Amino acid sequence: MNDGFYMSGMLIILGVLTYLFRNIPNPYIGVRVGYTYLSKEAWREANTFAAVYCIVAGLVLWAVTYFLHPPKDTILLLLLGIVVILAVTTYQKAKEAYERSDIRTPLEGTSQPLTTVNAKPYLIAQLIAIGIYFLIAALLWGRLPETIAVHYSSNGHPDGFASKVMGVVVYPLVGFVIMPLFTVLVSKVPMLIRFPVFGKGQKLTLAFLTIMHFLVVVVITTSLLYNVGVIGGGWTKWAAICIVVITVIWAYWMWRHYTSNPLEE
Amino acid sequence: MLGNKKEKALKKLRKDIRSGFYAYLALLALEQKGELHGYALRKELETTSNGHLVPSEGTLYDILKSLKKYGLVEDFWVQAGGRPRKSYKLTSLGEEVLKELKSEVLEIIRIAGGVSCE
Repeated sequence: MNDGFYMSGMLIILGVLTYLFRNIPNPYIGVRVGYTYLSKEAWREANTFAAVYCIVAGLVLWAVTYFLHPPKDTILLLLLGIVVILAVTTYQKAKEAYERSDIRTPLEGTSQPLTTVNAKPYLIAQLIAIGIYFLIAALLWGRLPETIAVHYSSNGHPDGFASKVMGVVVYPLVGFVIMPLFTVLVSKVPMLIRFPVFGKGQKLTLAFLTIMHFLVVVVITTSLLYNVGVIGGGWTKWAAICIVVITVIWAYWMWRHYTSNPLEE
Repeated sequence: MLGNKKEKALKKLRKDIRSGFYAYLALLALEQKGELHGYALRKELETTSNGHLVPSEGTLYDILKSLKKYGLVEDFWVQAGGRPRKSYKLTSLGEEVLKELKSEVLEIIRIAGGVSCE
């Protein structure tokens, strides 16, 4: 029940913050997709909607928690629904606002075609990495205990456990889907991500997603190897640290991109 | 009260007639120019109609959205002035539909002209 109050409180705070920044495009607070980055009008429309939606959704979630006392799983499902609707509708709002403002803005200079990068090689590399993981998992299956470690503390000691099927197949699959999904989205819908990247930027983004995917596979593989006693838990920790380092480098690149390409109206 | 009703009716009929005509003119302009950016398309409609038929950007957005929905027009990104812009072009289905529409529109103009002359 406390989770419901916590999550509704978070939604309301998020909504209020978004409302306060609904007229101030910035790289930190608000709906940040390609369209809102490029157009103040798209930023305003998407963020005004997102702010009101988050506050109302937060109040509804609070009322549901207070009056109906639903179990934690129901609250999580509700929150997932709220977030999915928020993501789809705000993206749609931003897209419409951008395309409307695009119609009224004269074209400057000559236009050059913008082609999207072929994501297939990146996707194939990502799928090969998943294949290698499952090959190792199949080879080690007989040596794995029925309960395996799936989470580790900062000093590399296991602090979370799951059954063999969940820990070797289900949880890794959930982790493995994320980067390939973003790879497809970035190549098909370049405006979905924060900065509308085309050409070189899109290649860099896809390369980053593929490197992140490899690291996710490495982290989960080291956990697998730890569970059969081949390596210590420290390896998983270092692989996880690599993910953080790559993320920080990427965040820096995005920040540089943002500051060197100020928003124009 | 009666004047208000007349204005309402005129507004509604104008809107219905114009939105169909805008869609037809947009298809025609895209056929002639090959591909056009939304702003250029609006300017093209303004030029061809001597400034009489200029849809607002909201109206043109809705028309293009509906033409895209029916698969008559497709959009693609171009880069101009350092930012991505949307351009539009006819699809093969759009070309087919426009071909049939042309003769129908000419027939409508002929009938409307005949009726108004009587």
